[in-house]
Amino acid sequence: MMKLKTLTALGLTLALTAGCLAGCGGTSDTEEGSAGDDAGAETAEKTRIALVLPGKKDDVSFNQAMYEGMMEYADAHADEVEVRVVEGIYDVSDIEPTLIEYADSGYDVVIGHGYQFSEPVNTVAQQYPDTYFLLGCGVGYQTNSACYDVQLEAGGYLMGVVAALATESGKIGVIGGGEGSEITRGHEGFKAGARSINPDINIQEVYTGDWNDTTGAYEAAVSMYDSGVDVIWHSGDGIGLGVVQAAVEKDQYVLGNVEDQYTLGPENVLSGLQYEWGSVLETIFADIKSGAFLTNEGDAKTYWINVANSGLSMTELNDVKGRLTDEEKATIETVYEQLHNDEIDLPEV
Amino acid sequence: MNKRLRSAVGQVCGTILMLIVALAVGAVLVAISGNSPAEAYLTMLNGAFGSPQKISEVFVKLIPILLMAFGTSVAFRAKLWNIGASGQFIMGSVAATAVALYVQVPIALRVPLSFAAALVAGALWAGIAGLLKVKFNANEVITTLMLNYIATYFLLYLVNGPMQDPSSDLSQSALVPEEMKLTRLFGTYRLHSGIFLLLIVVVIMLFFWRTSLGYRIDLVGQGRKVATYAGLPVDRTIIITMLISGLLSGLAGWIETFGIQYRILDGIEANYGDISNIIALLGELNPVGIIASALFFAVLLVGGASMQRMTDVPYSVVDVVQGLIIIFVVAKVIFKFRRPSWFRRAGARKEAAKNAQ
Amino acid sequence: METLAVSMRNITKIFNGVKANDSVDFDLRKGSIHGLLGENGAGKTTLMNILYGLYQQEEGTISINGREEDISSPVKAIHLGIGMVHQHFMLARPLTVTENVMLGRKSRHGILLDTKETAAELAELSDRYKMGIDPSAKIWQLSVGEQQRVEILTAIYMGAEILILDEPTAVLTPQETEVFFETLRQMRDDGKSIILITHKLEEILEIVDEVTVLRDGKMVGSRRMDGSVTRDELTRMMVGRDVLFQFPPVEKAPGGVKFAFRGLCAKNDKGLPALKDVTLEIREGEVVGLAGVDGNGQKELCEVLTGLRKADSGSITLNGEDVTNLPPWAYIDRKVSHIPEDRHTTGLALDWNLKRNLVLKSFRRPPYVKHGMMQVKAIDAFWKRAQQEYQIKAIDGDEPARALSGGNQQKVILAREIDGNPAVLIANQPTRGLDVGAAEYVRSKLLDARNQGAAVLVVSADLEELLQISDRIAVIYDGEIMGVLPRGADTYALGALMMGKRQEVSVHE
Repeated sequence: MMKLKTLTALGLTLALTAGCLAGCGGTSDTEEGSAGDDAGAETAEKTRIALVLPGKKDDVSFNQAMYEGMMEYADAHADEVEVRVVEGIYDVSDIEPTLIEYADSGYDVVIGHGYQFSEPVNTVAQQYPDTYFLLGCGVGYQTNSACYDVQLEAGGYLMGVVAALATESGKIGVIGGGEGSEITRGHEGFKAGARSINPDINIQEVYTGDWNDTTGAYEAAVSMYDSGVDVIWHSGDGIGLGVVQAAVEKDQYVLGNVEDQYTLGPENVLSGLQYEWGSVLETIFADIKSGAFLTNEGDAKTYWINVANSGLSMTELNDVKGRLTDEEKATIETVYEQLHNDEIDLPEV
Repeated sequence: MNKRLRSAVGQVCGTILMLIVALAVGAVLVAISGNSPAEAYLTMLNGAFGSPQKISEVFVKLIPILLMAFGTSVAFRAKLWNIGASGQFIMGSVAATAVALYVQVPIALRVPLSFAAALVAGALWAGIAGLLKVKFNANEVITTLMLNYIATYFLLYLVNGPMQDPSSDLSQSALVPEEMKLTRLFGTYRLHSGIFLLLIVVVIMLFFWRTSLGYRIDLVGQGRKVATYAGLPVDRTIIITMLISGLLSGLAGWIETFGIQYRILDGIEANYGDISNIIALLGELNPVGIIASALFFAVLLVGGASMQRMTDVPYSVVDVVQGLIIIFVVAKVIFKFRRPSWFRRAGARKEAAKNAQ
Repeated sequence: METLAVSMRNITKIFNGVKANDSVDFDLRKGSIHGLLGENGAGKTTLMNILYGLYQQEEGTISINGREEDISSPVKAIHLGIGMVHQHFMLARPLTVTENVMLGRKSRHGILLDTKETAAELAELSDRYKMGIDPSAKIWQLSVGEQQRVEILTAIYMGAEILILDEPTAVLTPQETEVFFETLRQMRDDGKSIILITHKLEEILEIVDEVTVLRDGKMVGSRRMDGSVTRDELTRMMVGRDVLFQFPPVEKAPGGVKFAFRGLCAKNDKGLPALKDVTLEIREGEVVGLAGVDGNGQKELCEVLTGLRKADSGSITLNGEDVTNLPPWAYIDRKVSHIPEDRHTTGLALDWNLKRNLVLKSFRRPPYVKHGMMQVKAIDAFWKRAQQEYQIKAIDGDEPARALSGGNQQKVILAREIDGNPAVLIANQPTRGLDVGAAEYVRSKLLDARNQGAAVLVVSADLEELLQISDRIAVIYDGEIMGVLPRGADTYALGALMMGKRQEVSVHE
């Protein structure tokens, strides 16, 4: 009996070791294969793109905007690219293996859409130098990786102006997910924009700490509205849904972000920002094709969308409560034009 | 011997049948979702074994879940329902990372120190539940569950507060020193030298139930009355059992921290605790059974994730298969430990018949 | 030819391929007491459960009063005038006797209860059969013997003409048994037919008119008890061989005092006093029997004497050493062996295999443990020796203890507790639930331990057993030692002590 168990243990050890060795032996084949693809694929074969989304592609927000932008590009270049989208890769423990698997199975471009992809994208990009990596709204660059981001300070500024004009109580609010990156810049822009209209305006600001914390955002919004705030701007993802829900329940104004959220609250969504990733994707893939994408190690390389390049636009004003005069609407129009022409000094974060 | 062999084979067949049913139901769901079940499962298999990178991932997953399942099984054998493996894992990771980041001694000293810290933290976290059971007869299911919550929120507090990475806004700590990371064995693949620690534990566990200590732990599971009668200090053994159980989860935490994540972060536990409970029960608390079950789950998790990435089959299929296995396992456990009365009566008649023989 | 109250022909009942009854014939004459004799597991209860409609036979026919009947349920059986009193009573403890009787039937006044009428009728029946039952008493106030009479009363009240009694005297003292037999005779004289399931030869010889013996599910034979049937003949029929009934007395006189306890007081699980100032001394090579009705402190005493229960006061000395309130393992280390009352929850780990059960207490002791590892070879060797020496019927020691019959389970415990010459052996109800052969074997092993010099304390409710093997017999009642009688004491004197009637008996030192 004893002997049997010993044998089992030995057998298992051998099996495991064999598994590991097999893993080692096969490595080079796969990598060569994918490298070969990269070299000559562009003309003969389709470029394979993997888009990794942290949330759902129909979240009426951050994920949906990217998904639609990607699909727009894919439709326009149907004979050149092939896109695979995977949703809900939010847990850090899932991110790295996901990126590795796409890179390892021969995808040409792997896109990690969100700040939390920063570290894994940079790590995996180093390990798979023949694959191109894109990082949405994150930090860090490799030779074969770049970021795309939104100059949310401009959009935030515009939303601040709208909120300051639309409030009656003189109290406005802004609710964000995780503190950092474009969200923080957006909040600063929002505050600057609002103060440009009314320097003494009361601004409440909350970060839930979690982009998917719909409940936390809902509760934060309810308490803001209860304290007299009558316009809130939120900065995207799952939390946006919570804020819009609170606005509908409290029958107050809310300003959207990333996607047109009119359908979520036709009586309460005053306006919002819309991201258009399509144009910047055109630029990125053109660079990849031409070879301009690859840069020297560590060089900052970010593809921006902003109001100036029309990657960031404002959805139609939906002033159901009639709080904005024609004059105020004209002011908003003017500010938008100024931002488009890059004539306003935005706060640096 | 022959009879026992036959009953063992029967048991294994029963378990395999159970897995097949779970996978079959999963297949029906795949079909309903408009995809091909064959393709889905082939992708799943391919996702687990299709390339060296994928095999590496299977073992990466195997390390924590097998260690924690072993830990769970030690307690379960004593009928101590320690469902707190995740909390013990977290406390192990936290202690290890704290030592790695803040104890300013040479690396050569810091590695064993963090290793010891992880084991002690995991063991103590389970030991608390053991002590509460012994002193106040507090049900360990409740206490270990509650300790899980405390550990989870303690971790959340740390990675958003005192231990948060100063260079990032994410809920995570700074990276551990480069020299402390476990080496990756095969180039870029994530499989790391922690696997050797797992192998050592596997060998120990294969012999554990033949040791005097294993025998004592098993005896506690046979009932307090008979254990006391046999001269066992039951309370002390309960605490020792919980310490060992927690120690193994703490070890898993150490390996995961230095082999994969290189830091602590929100969500580091990744449901390993719940999965390890199921693995322990699916493996009938027997080391060989647990190894087989853990391999099955590692393949299911890694292959399932790959299936989701490479096909349009939703990951929910994996969740459903996992859920069905949980239901089967739980049903089996209830059947074993709390037979319904009609079944007991039938059993009694069987015994009567046996006696009449 | 007279009509038979019951005639069962060719009854065969199979459980999982095992024939619990194999073509059994059974005839019950009207107005007689019929003994159904056999060892445990011989198929007695199975046969009677078929008659009472609890089981259905695979083959064979049953006739009641000359008419063939299909007894598909107990309801049908009661309708046919058959009543059965099981070993475990089925009474609602918070209710009165009358209320318990009324639970089983409809009121004669529609929705109104007929409590008074019923109570009067029960009182009348009770008087008639000298049962002495007060119909308004609550069940929990009654003694076990009285509860049994309530069961019988209920069956008769429901119109039973054929009464099945399953081991009725197991719970009675000799005095109670005597009264009980009077009741049975009265019922027989009233024309009722009674089946008495038992494995006690004394009862067969004393009260029954006819006996049927079963062995291994088969009918061995039927005898009229007209004086020609001897005890030895019945034994052979039941066991299939001769059984030694009288152990040869050992002339070797006991040595000095080995194990003594003085003034022991302890509480039971409910926190009530269970032992009151218990004092006894046991000499080397002596068997002291402890007689008493169940639940009078025997279990608590055995636990205190093995470290499983704390004594509130008093002392225990072993070979002159004070061992009061030491932990259980200290007693084990000093070779105090214990055959506990409850084999299933205490004496054995039922899910463990037999080998492991054999070394249940040896997880610290070489040769079974070395370097922290259980020594499989040493354990296997112990098993082989024990299996042979203690005649354990098992396959290979790898099967769980659960799979064994009670007798074989007890043999495993015996092997563990007696092997290695214990200094003290505490045996609580060592033969309970065992068949005659196994019980005899256990007793002989207890005597072996004595002959090796152990101080032995045997707790039993079976006076006959104690009289056979004890050098002295102490009687416990309500946690007190009522007296200590010498070997060969009078059963009636013991019975009186067991019921709490203290006599002028000097306590032997």
